[in-house]
Amino acid sequence: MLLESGGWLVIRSRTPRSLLVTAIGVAASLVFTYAGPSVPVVRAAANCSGQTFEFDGTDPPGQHNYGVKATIEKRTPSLCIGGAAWSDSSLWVMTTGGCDEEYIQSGYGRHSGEADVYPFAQYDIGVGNNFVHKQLANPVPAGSKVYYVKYNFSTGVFSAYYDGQFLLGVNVDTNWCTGRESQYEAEVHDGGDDVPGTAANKASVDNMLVVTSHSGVWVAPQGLTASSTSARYDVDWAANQTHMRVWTK
Amino acid sequence: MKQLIVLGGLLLVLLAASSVSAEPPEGIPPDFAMPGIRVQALDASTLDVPTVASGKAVDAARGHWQWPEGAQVAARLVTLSDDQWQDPAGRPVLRDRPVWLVTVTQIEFHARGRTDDVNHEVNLVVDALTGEVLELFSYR
Repeated sequence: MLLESGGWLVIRSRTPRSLLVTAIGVAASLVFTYAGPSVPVVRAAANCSGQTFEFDGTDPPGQHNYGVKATIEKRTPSLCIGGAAWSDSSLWVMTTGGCDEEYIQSGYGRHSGEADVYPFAQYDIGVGNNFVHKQLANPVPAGSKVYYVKYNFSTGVFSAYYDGQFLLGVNVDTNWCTGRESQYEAEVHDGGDDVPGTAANKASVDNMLVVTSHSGVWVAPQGLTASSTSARYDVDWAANQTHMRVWTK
Repeated sequence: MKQLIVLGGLLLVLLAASSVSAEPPEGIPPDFAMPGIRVQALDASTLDVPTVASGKAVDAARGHWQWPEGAQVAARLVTLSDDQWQDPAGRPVLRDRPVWLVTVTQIEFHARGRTDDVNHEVNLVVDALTGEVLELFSYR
């Protein structure tokens, strides 16, 4: 149902009552029924199999980080067949806080219902809070872009950047527990979703850097071990510790 | 004639059954609290150029993200500034921009980043003059 009143446009999902009316007068209801344009169908690698959280990448161990950065190559992943609402595939850099559900990240991703990957930033300030998400409407262009999150020692704000653009920031001094770690991961929310990249065209995560001291200088992370939580995905090193690649087998 | 009367009656029943309201639908408060984003109600008659129709703005938003069936959707005309979207020179990309704010609720929008946190509202910002989708955000 599509109605407009004052400054508002309201579209209500059809109720059983209006469905009954629709059944009686199909022609009349068609006048009011809203139908949006469809998203192009992209072939997926597997059927949707239920909500899960799988990761493919690396987490630098035990470093107190003030920033994490990488140059990430665009690869548009297929989502699971069946269109599960939770279906999602993304590739990002992230710094976490010392308690659960404290993080800020920058990367690209494709939600169920989207035809391409979009740059996004997201953060949370802990259990019991909603997360804050922003994404730009222009898809990530072909090639590679720089994504990073970095702490400002003067303001206490952790900020997320994409291709030089500031997208989101949050004061972590007042909102996070002590202790931080950085991560570079591809993530899916259904076991049938693909992570970006294929065996023939892996998704490159290059120029991997972190900030580990108050100097604010970007340095190469240490002790990285790449792994995947699912046998459907894989990860390797094009250059050890600085250039990782992820893909769906 | 009889058929016209029947059709007219059906239309009246349909309108009575629908949820016509001058107020924002329940669950969509008039004020927003997305960090960095400020919105202000906009009267289209104050603009020098016409805005795109609200339905076209919703179409554009749905072309960007095909939200699940059963979602509730509302659009309102506002001026929007986003202090937390800045170009590489540090300038805000959106400042007092006339937009249709298309709000989608009664959905599950899942977090990324090792958490099963779920939001239930997504907002899509559509340029009111061109119909171009500019950004998408969610905070609750």
